[in-house]
Amino acid sequence: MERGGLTNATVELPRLLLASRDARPRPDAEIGGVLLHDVGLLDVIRLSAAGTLPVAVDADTVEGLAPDEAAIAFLVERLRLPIVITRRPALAARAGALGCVALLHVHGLDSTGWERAMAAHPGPPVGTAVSPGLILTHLDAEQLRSLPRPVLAYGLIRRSTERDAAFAAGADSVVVS
Amino acid sequence: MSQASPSDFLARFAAFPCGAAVKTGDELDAAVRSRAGAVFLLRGNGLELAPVIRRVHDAGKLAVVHVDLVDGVASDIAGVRWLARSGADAVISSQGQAVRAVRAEGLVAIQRLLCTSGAAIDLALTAVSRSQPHIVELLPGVILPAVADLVLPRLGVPLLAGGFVRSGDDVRRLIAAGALAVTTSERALWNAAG
Repeated sequence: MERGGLTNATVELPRLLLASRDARPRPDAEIGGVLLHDVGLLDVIRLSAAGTLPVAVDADTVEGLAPDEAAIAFLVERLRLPIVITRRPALAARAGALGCVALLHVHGLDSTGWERAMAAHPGPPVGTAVSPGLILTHLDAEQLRSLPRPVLAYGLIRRSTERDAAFAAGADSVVVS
Repeated sequence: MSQASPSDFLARFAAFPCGAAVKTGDELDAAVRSRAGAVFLLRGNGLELAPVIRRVHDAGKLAVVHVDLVDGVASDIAGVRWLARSGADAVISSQGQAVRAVRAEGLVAIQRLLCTSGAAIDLALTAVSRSQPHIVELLPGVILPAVADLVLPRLGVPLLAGGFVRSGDDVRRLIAAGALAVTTSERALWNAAG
Protein backbone atom coordinates (compact mmCIF):
# COMPACT_ATOMS: atom_id res chain seq x y z
CA MET A 1 0.00 0.00 0.00
CA GLU A 2 1.58 3.28 -1.07
CA ARG A 3 -0.69 5.85 0.47
CA GLY A 4 -3.49 6.22 2.96
CA GLY A 5 -6.25 5.27 0.55
CA LEU A 6 -7.33 1.82 -0.56
CA THR A 7 -5.25 0.34 -3.35
CA ASN A 8 -6.56 -3.19 -3.38
CA ALA A 9 -9.60 -5.14 -2.32
CA THR A 10 -8.03 -6.91 0.63
CA VAL A 11 -7.74 -4.68 3.66
CA GLU A 12 -6.60 -5.67 7.09
CA LEU A 13 -6.70 -3.78 10.34
CA PRO A 14 -3.14 -2.82 11.35
CA ARG A 15 -2.13 -4.14 14.75
CA LEU A 16 -1.34 -0.66 16.06
CA LEU A 17 -3.08 2.53 14.97
CA LEU A 18 -1.83 5.94 15.99
CA ALA A 19 -4.64 8.28 17.04
CA SER A 20 -3.86 11.51 15.30
CA ARG A 21 -5.05 14.68 13.71
CA ASP A 22 -2.15 14.36 11.29
CA ALA A 23 -1.46 11.54 8.83
CA ARG A 24 2.30 11.78 9.30
CA PRO A 25 3.28 8.97 11.63
CA ARG A 26 5.84 9.41 14.36
CA PRO A 27 9.01 7.38 13.86
CA ASP A 28 7.76 4.13 15.32
CA ALA A 29 8.09 1.00 13.25
CA GLU A 30 5.31 -0.70 15.20
CA ILE A 31 2.68 1.80 14.04
CA GLY A 32 0.80 0.27 11.12
CA GLY A 33 -1.72 3.00 10.42
CA VAL A 34 -3.15 6.33 11.46
CA LEU A 35 -6.59 6.93 12.92
CA LEU A 36 -7.89 10.41 12.14
CA HIS A 37 -10.37 11.84 14.61
CA ASP A 38 -11.74 15.25 15.53
CA VAL A 39 -10.58 16.82 12.28
CA GLY A 40 -12.34 18.85 9.61
CA LEU A 41 -13.53 17.38 6.34
CA LEU A 42 -10.95 19.29 4.32
CA ASP A 43 -8.23 17.93 6.59
CA VAL A 44 -9.41 14.37 6.00
CA ILE A 45 -9.20 14.92 2.26
CA ARG A 46 -5.72 16.40 2.53
CA LEU A 47 -4.38 13.87 5.00
CA SER A 48 -5.83 10.83 3.25
CA ALA A 49 -3.84 11.77 0.15
CA ALA A 50 -0.66 12.72 1.98
CA GLY A 51 -0.27 9.78 4.33
CA THR A 52 2.07 6.89 3.73
CA LEU A 53 0.28 4.47 6.05
CA PRO A 54 -3.28 3.14 5.91
CA VAL A 55 -5.66 5.77 7.20
CA ALA A 56 -8.63 5.01 9.40
CA VAL A 57 -11.22 7.66 10.15
CA ASP A 58 -13.62 8.09 13.04
CA ALA A 59 -16.41 9.37 10.82
CA ASP A 60 -18.60 10.68 13.65
CA THR A 61 -15.91 13.14 14.73
CA VAL A 62 -15.21 14.70 11.33
CA GLU A 63 -16.50 18.25 11.29
CA GLY A 64 -18.44 18.98 8.15
CA LEU A 65 -19.40 15.37 7.49
CA ALA A 66 -23.08 14.50 7.76
CA PRO A 67 -24.08 11.24 9.47
CA ASP A 68 -25.49 9.68 6.32
CA GLU A 69 -24.76 7.22 3.54
CA ALA A 70 -23.49 9.89 1.16
CA ALA A 71 -20.75 10.74 3.64
CA ILE A 72 -19.77 7.09 4.04
CA ALA A 73 -19.70 6.58 0.29
CA PHE A 74 -17.47 9.63 -0.05
CA LEU A 75 -14.99 8.31 2.52
CA VAL A 76 -14.86 4.82 1.05
CA GLU A 77 -15.31 5.34 -2.69
CA ARG A 78 -13.86 8.79 -3.31
CA LEU A 79 -11.15 9.03 -0.66
CA ARG A 80 -10.64 5.25 -0.66
CA LEU A 81 -10.08 5.15 3.08
CA PRO A 82 -9.55 1.53 4.09
CA ILE A 83 -10.99 1.71 7.61
CA VAL A 84 -14.13 3.55 8.72
CA ILE A 85 -15.46 3.76 12.28
CA THR A 86 -18.93 5.00 13.18
CA ARG A 87 -21.38 4.68 16.07
CA ARG A 88 -24.29 4.31 13.64
CA PRO A 89 -25.05 0.66 12.87
CA ALA A 90 -26.67 1.35 9.48
CA LEU A 91 -23.71 3.42 8.36
CA ALA A 92 -21.24 0.82 9.58
CA ALA A 93 -23.12 -1.80 7.58
CA ARG A 94 -23.04 0.47 4.53
CA ALA A 95 -19.30 1.00 4.88
CA GLY A 96 -18.80 -2.74 5.15
CA ALA A 97 -20.88 -3.33 2.05
CA LEU A 98 -18.67 -0.88 0.17
CA GLY A 99 -15.65 -3.03 0.90
CA CYS A 100 -13.67 -1.27 3.61
CA VAL A 101 -12.96 -2.46 7.11
CA ALA A 102 -16.04 -1.11 8.87
CA LEU A 103 -16.17 -0.93 12.64
CA LEU A 104 -19.17 -0.13 14.80
CA HIS A 105 -18.00 2.16 17.58
CA VAL A 106 -19.39 0.83 20.85
CA HIS A 107 -19.01 2.68 24.14
CA GLY A 108 -18.46 0.33 27.04
CA LEU A 109 -19.67 2.44 29.94
CA ASP A 110 -21.84 -0.02 31.82
CA SER A 111 -23.31 -3.45 31.27
CA THR A 112 -26.79 -2.17 30.39
CA GLY A 113 -25.55 0.20 27.72
CA TRP A 114 -23.27 -2.50 26.44
CA GLU A 115 -26.12 -4.93 25.91
CA ARG A 116 -28.15 -2.29 24.09
CA ALA A 117 -25.26 -1.34 21.83
CA MET A 118 -24.43 -4.92 20.97
CA ALA A 119 -28.06 -5.72 20.21
CA ALA A 120 -27.90 -3.06 17.48
CA HIS A 121 -24.64 -4.38 16.03
CA PRO A 122 -25.09 -5.36 12.37
CA GLY A 123 -22.62 -8.24 12.77
CA PRO A 124 -20.00 -9.44 10.29
CA PRO A 125 -18.44 -8.15 8.14
CA VAL A 126 -18.72 -5.14 10.42
CA GLY A 127 -16.26 -5.37 13.28
CA THR A 128 -16.20 -3.53 16.58
CA ALA A 129 -14.30 -0.54 17.92
CA VAL A 130 -14.58 -0.61 21.70
CA SER A 131 -14.19 2.59 23.73
CA PRO A 132 -12.51 2.98 26.07
CA GLY A 133 -10.10 0.32 24.89
CA LEU A 134 -9.27 -0.31 28.53
CA ILE A 135 -12.69 -1.87 29.07
CA LEU A 136 -11.87 -4.93 26.95
CA THR A 137 -10.00 -6.49 29.85
CA HIS A 138 -13.07 -6.09 32.05
CA LEU A 139 -15.60 -7.77 29.76
CA ASP A 140 -16.62 -11.27 30.69
CA ALA A 141 -15.89 -14.28 28.50
CA GLU A 142 -19.30 -14.28 26.85
CA GLN A 143 -19.15 -10.56 26.07
CA LEU A 144 -15.73 -11.01 24.50
CA ARG A 145 -16.81 -14.09 22.53
CA SER A 146 -19.83 -12.30 21.07
CA LEU A 147 -17.85 -9.30 19.78
CA PRO A 148 -17.94 -9.23 15.97
CA ARG A 149 -14.37 -9.14 14.68
CA PRO A 150 -12.10 -7.47 13.97
CA VAL A 151 -11.97 -5.81 17.37
CA LEU A 152 -10.26 -2.46 17.86
CA ALA A 153 -9.40 -1.26 21.37
CA TYR A 154 -9.96 2.48 21.00
CA GLY A 155 -9.29 5.05 23.67
CA LEU A 156 -7.35 5.64 26.89
CA ILE A 157 -4.66 3.04 26.24
CA ARG A 158 -1.53 4.91 27.28
CA ARG A 159 0.78 2.28 28.70
CA SER A 160 2.46 -0.72 27.12
CA THR A 161 0.98 -2.95 29.82
CA GLU A 162 -2.51 -1.76 28.86
CA ARG A 163 -1.79 -2.40 25.19
CA ASP A 164 -0.56 -5.91 25.93
CA ALA A 165 -3.59 -6.58 28.12
CA ALA A 166 -5.95 -5.48 25.34
CA PHE A 167 -4.31 -7.87 22.91
CA ALA A 168 -4.46 -10.64 25.49
CA ALA A 169 -8.18 -9.97 25.94
CA GLY A 170 -8.72 -10.48 22.24
CA ALA A 171 -8.16 -7.14 20.50
CA ASP A 172 -7.00 -7.45 16.91
CA SER A 173 -5.80 -3.88 16.93
CA VAL A 174 -5.10 -1.18 19.49
CA VAL A 175 -5.23 2.59 19.14
CA VAL A 176 -2.32 4.34 20.80
CA SER A 177 -1.63 8.03 21.14
CA MET B 1 -38.11 12.11 54.76
CA SER B 2 -36.64 15.62 54.94
CA GLN B 3 -34.49 17.01 52.17
CA ALA B 4 -31.24 15.05 51.90
CA SER B 5 -27.94 16.91 51.78
CA PRO B 6 -24.63 15.98 50.17
CA SER B 7 -23.31 15.05 53.61
CA ASP B 8 -26.18 12.58 54.03
CA PHE B 9 -24.94 10.79 50.91
CA LEU B 10 -21.35 10.86 52.07
CA ALA B 11 -22.39 9.36 55.39
CA ARG B 12 -24.37 6.58 53.68
CA PHE B 13 -21.46 5.70 51.41
CA ALA B 14 -19.02 5.84 54.31
CA ALA B 15 -21.21 3.34 56.14
CA PHE B 16 -21.58 1.03 53.12
CA PRO B 17 -19.59 1.75 49.96
CA CYS B 18 -22.09 0.58 47.39
CA GLY B 19 -25.16 2.12 45.78
CA ALA B 20 -27.76 -0.16 44.21
CA ALA B 21 -28.32 0.55 40.50
CA VAL B 22 -31.87 -0.57 39.71
CA LYS B 23 -33.63 -1.09 36.38
CA THR B 24 -36.47 -3.50 37.18
CA GLY B 25 -39.10 -4.13 39.83
CA ASP B 26 -37.29 -7.28 40.94
CA GLU B 27 -34.12 -5.31 41.41
CA LEU B 28 -36.01 -2.67 43.38
CA ASP B 29 -37.37 -5.41 45.67
CA ALA B 30 -33.85 -6.62 46.31
CA ALA B 31 -32.42 -3.12 46.68
CA VAL B 32 -34.84 -2.00 49.39
CA ARG B 33 -33.99 -5.15 51.39
CA SER B 34 -30.24 -4.70 50.91
CA ARG B 35 -27.57 -2.87 52.89
CA ALA B 36 -27.16 -0.23 50.19
CA GLY B 37 -27.87 3.21 51.59
CA ALA B 38 -28.79 4.75 48.24
CA VAL B 39 -30.88 3.36 45.39
CA PHE B 40 -30.15 4.62 41.88
CA LEU B 41 -33.24 4.43 39.66
CA LEU B 42 -32.03 4.00 36.08
CA ARG B 43 -35.23 2.97 34.32
CA GLY B 44 -38.99 3.38 34.55
CA ASN B 45 -41.56 6.03 33.94
CA GLY B 46 -40.19 9.24 35.36
CA LEU B 47 -43.70 10.66 35.50
CA GLU B 48 -44.84 7.88 37.85
CA LEU B 49 -41.85 7.58 40.15
CA ALA B 50 -43.33 9.03 43.35
CA PRO B 51 -44.56 5.66 44.72
CA VAL B 52 -41.25 4.04 43.88
CA ILE B 53 -39.31 6.79 45.64
CA ARG B 54 -41.65 6.51 48.62
CA ARG B 55 -40.86 2.82 48.83
CA VAL B 56 -37.13 3.57 48.79
CA HIS B 57 -37.63 6.14 51.57
CA ASP B 58 -39.78 3.76 53.60
CA ALA B 59 -36.83 1.37 53.57
CA GLY B 60 -34.67 4.14 55.04
CA LYS B 61 -32.67 4.72 51.88
CA LEU B 62 -31.92 7.69 49.67
CA ALA B 63 -33.40 7.82 46.17
CA VAL B 64 -31.35 8.93 43.18
CA VAL B 65 -33.04 9.33 39.79
CA HIS B 66 -31.15 9.34 36.50
CA VAL B 67 -32.98 12.02 34.56
CA ASP B 68 -31.31 11.08 31.26
CA LEU B 69 -32.43 7.46 31.44
CA VAL B 70 -35.95 7.40 32.86
CA ASP B 71 -38.82 7.74 30.43
CA GLY B 72 -41.16 10.68 30.15
CA VAL B 73 -39.02 13.36 31.78
CA ALA B 74 -36.72 15.72 29.92
CA SER B 75 -33.23 16.56 31.15
CA ASP B 76 -34.14 20.19 31.70
CA ILE B 77 -35.25 22.50 34.48
CA ALA B 78 -38.89 21.46 34.31
CA GLY B 79 -37.99 17.78 34.27
CA VAL B 80 -35.73 18.16 37.27
CA ARG B 81 -38.42 20.16 39.07
CA TRP B 82 -40.83 17.28 38.49
CA LEU B 83 -38.40 14.78 39.97
CA ALA B 84 -37.90 17.03 42.99
CA ARG B 85 -41.65 17.12 43.46
CA SER B 86 -41.72 13.31 43.16
CA GLY B 87 -39.43 13.10 46.17
CA ALA B 88 -36.02 12.38 44.65
CA ASP B 89 -33.10 13.09 46.98
CA ALA B 90 -30.60 13.41 44.18
CA VAL B 91 -30.70 13.58 40.42
CA ILE B 92 -27.96 12.28 38.19
CA SER B 93 -27.18 13.37 34.65
CA SER B 94 -24.29 13.60 32.24
CA GLN B 95 -25.52 17.01 31.07
CA GLY B 96 -24.21 20.12 32.76
CA GLN B 97 -27.41 22.06 32.18
CA ALA B 98 -29.43 19.44 34.02
CA VAL B 99 -26.91 19.32 36.86
CA ARG B 100 -27.17 23.08 37.33
CA ALA B 101 -30.95 22.73 37.43
CA VAL B 102 -30.65 20.04 40.10
CA ARG B 103 -28.59 22.34 42.29
CA ALA B 104 -31.05 25.16 41.74
CA GLU B 105 -33.86 22.91 42.97
CA GLY B 106 -31.93 22.23 46.16
CA LEU B 107 -31.34 18.55 45.42
CA VAL B 108 -28.05 16.71 45.51
CA ALA B 109 -26.53 16.88 42.03
CA ILE B 110 -24.52 13.99 40.62
CA GLN B 111 -22.81 14.38 37.26
CA ARG B 112 -21.71 11.46 35.16
CA LEU B 113 -18.20 11.58 33.75
CA LEU B 114 -18.11 9.37 30.67
CA CYS B 115 -14.57 8.16 30.08
CA THR B 116 -14.25 6.94 26.51
CA SER B 117 -11.13 8.85 25.52
CA GLY B 118 -8.69 11.41 26.83
CA ALA B 119 -10.52 14.14 24.93
CA ALA B 120 -13.84 13.03 26.40
CA ILE B 121 -12.39 13.21 29.90
CA ASP B 122 -11.05 16.71 29.27
CA LEU B 123 -14.41 17.91 27.98
CA ALA B 124 -16.32 16.27 30.80
CA LEU B 125 -14.06 17.71 33.48
CA THR B 126 -14.50 21.16 31.98
CA ALA B 127 -18.26 20.64 32.08
CA VAL B 128 -18.02 19.50 35.70
CA SER B 129 -16.08 22.62 36.67
CA ARG B 130 -18.85 24.73 35.17
CA SER B 131 -21.85 22.88 36.58
CA GLN B 132 -20.33 22.15 40.00
CA PRO B 133 -22.13 18.96 41.01
CA HIS B 134 -21.92 17.76 44.60
CA ILE B 135 -20.73 14.31 43.49
CA VAL B 136 -19.31 12.89 40.26
CA GLU B 137 -19.87 9.35 38.98
CA LEU B 138 -17.16 8.01 36.67
CA LEU B 139 -18.10 5.49 33.98
CA PRO B 140 -16.90 2.86 33.31
CA GLY B 141 -15.96 2.86 36.95
CA VAL B 142 -13.90 -0.25 36.72
CA ILE B 143 -11.16 1.62 34.81
CA LEU B 144 -10.66 4.23 37.55
CA PRO B 145 -7.22 2.93 38.61
CA ALA B 146 -5.96 3.43 35.05
CA VAL B 147 -7.31 6.98 34.66
CA ALA B 148 -7.10 8.28 38.22
CA ASP B 149 -4.09 10.43 37.30
CA LEU B 150 -6.17 12.15 34.60
CA VAL B 151 -9.27 12.68 36.72
CA LEU B 152 -8.61 13.04 40.42
CA PRO B 153 -6.23 16.03 40.37
CA ARG B 154 -8.90 18.04 38.54
CA LEU B 155 -11.81 16.96 40.68
CA GLY B 156 -12.76 18.70 43.89
CA VAL B 157 -15.78 16.61 44.82
CA PRO B 158 -16.34 13.00 45.92
CA LEU B 159 -16.23 10.38 43.19
CA LEU B 160 -18.41 7.34 42.63
CA ALA B 161 -17.33 4.56 40.26
CA GLY B 162 -20.07 2.87 38.26
CA GLY B 163 -20.08 0.46 35.32
CA PHE B 164 -18.77 -3.13 35.04
CA VAL B 165 -18.23 -3.30 38.80
CA ARG B 166 -18.82 -6.99 39.46
CA SER B 167 -16.90 -8.21 42.49
CA GLY B 168 -15.76 -7.36 45.96
CA ASP B 169 -12.23 -7.18 44.58
CA ASP B 170 -13.40 -4.51 42.13
CA VAL B 171 -14.93 -2.53 44.99
CA ARG B 172 -11.77 -2.66 47.09
CA ARG B 173 -9.59 -1.76 44.10
CA LEU B 174 -11.75 1.22 43.14
CA ILE B 175 -11.95 2.59 46.65
CA ALA B 176 -8.18 2.23 46.95
CA ALA B 177 -7.87 4.19 43.69
CA GLY B 178 -9.85 7.10 45.09
CA ALA B 179 -13.55 6.34 44.77
CA LEU B 180 -15.80 7.19 47.68
CA ALA B 181 -18.05 4.27 46.74
CA VAL B 182 -19.31 2.27 43.78
CA THR B 183 -22.66 1.96 42.07
CA THR B 184 -23.55 -1.43 40.63
CA SER B 185 -26.43 -3.60 39.46
CA GLU B 186 -24.60 -6.66 40.84
CA ARG B 187 -27.02 -7.68 43.59
CA ALA B 188 -24.50 -9.66 45.60
CA LEU B 189 -22.54 -6.47 46.19
CA TRP B 190 -25.56 -4.71 47.65
CA ASN B 191 -25.07 -6.78 50.77
CA ALA B 192 -21.35 -7.47 50.80
CA ALA B 193 -19.47 -4.77 48.96
CA GLY B 194 -15.98 -5.90 49.77
